[in-house]
Amino acid sequence: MADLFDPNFEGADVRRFNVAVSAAGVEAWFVREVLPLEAMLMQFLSNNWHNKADLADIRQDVYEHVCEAAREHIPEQTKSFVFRTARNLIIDRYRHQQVVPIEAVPDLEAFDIAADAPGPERAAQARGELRKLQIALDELPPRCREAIVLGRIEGLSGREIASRMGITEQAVSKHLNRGLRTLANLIYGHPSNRGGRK
Amino acid sequence: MSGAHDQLQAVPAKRNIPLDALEEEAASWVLRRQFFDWTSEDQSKLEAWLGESPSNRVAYWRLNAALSRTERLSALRPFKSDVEPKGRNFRSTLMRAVAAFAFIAVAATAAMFYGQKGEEQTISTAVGGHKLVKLSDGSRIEMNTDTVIRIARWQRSVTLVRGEAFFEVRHDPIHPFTVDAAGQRITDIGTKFDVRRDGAEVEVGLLEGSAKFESRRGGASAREAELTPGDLASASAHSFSVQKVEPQILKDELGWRRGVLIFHNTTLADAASEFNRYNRIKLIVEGAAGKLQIDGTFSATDPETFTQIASDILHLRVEDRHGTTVLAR
Repeated sequence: MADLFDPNFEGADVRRFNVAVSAAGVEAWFVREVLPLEAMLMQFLSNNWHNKADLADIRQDVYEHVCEAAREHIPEQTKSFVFRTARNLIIDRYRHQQVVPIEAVPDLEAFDIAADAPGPERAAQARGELRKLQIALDELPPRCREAIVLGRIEGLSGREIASRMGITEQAVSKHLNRGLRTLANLIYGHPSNRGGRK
Repeated sequence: MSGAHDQLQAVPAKRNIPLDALEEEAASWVLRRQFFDWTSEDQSKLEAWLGESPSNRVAYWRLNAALSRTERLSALRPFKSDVEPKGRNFRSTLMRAVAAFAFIAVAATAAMFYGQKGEEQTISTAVGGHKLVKLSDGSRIEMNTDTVIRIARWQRSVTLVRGEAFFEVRHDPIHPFTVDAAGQRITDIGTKFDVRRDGAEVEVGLLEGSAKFESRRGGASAREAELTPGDLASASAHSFSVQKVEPQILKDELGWRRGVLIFHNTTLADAASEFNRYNRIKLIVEGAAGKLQIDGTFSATDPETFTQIASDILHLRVEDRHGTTVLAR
């Protein structure tokens, strides 16, 4: 745990550096290593920030910061880097708020971020993945689900979905849009097992 | 550490639009590219938009990744049906069905009108097959893999010789619709139900409406029950039972209608025998591995993906033994 903080990371102000990693490289890293941490990140944020309405906003801040930093240099310890950034952003928000609650300092140790270990058993993950997807799909509003299923399972285009559902393409876009945003939250943001709050 | 977070202030991540609006915009890019017409001009507009800010990029990457995750769903695309794909496009489906079944329709309508009696027609599906049969009275029969039905054209009576079929019956109080299977009879009272026959065993799941389920074997085993939605009834030569199940369970059992098998805590042995109904290449699970449980939705005609996922997550060996796939510890 000695030097969790990447020495190359000076705040998030990396715009003054030359960009060394391609956008595609950053995206690949973000999708492969950062997004899978989202459920844990959301739990961390909700444990350490009082206003639930801000959580998605802070999450987005964290992602923006880590991705900007990664353009210069892909961090070796993604997990610690992400949580360290989250912690700093929260402290920063508290500072701007002026009202600092007694328990303001996020408890990093509560999350075992020491190692970028492969995480929980891979078996459980793979197994959970299909189920998670299925559950997520089941949780969508019916019209959104129908649009997504027609598009994804039956492979229809937007126009074909519209004619199948008997609605305009614009309405299809709306259903798909809402469906996709909800799915993203369900797939990435929901803890796969409930509870575990410290 | 405080030094590090001092510097964070250097970039206050202030987005100029609310997150909701940003995500909506990002999602619309992702979706337009996937589902709607996409030109090279659109592509350069997207790239310009992504270049505008890290906010745009991150939101887009995240939603695009979520859509890719649903790629697994597209592996569940329904298999081709022999006669008619299941579809709600009634008109065009009807047109094609008319071509295929014109002779039934004409003959049946005439016969119903005149009350004549006529011969039976046999319809079957191959292993992995799927057929939608429309009857002239508006009823529909959806046939699953390896299924044979006999339609007594002019009696509103169908015999399930083997396999499984889903019935959507147009109710007609004067001419009840009956389905016979292995000595059991289902008499419709305006309903949607599934009948599966495995040798002498018959299982009926009732989704909507109501139906009478009776054993016609006579003697002591003669029994009957009025089925209501959510009922799963089964009968064999010597047994007869009806139980109420969760609607979701019945729906899952009907996954085959869209080409999928849905497992919840299903043992590998049971899952394999389900797959074997749909595929010529048979799957065998050896030894204790058969008792392992699996969850998920799989394409019924794609046992390879199932085998691969099952062996990955349960750490099993896969062997090809003379065209039979064997899964073992």
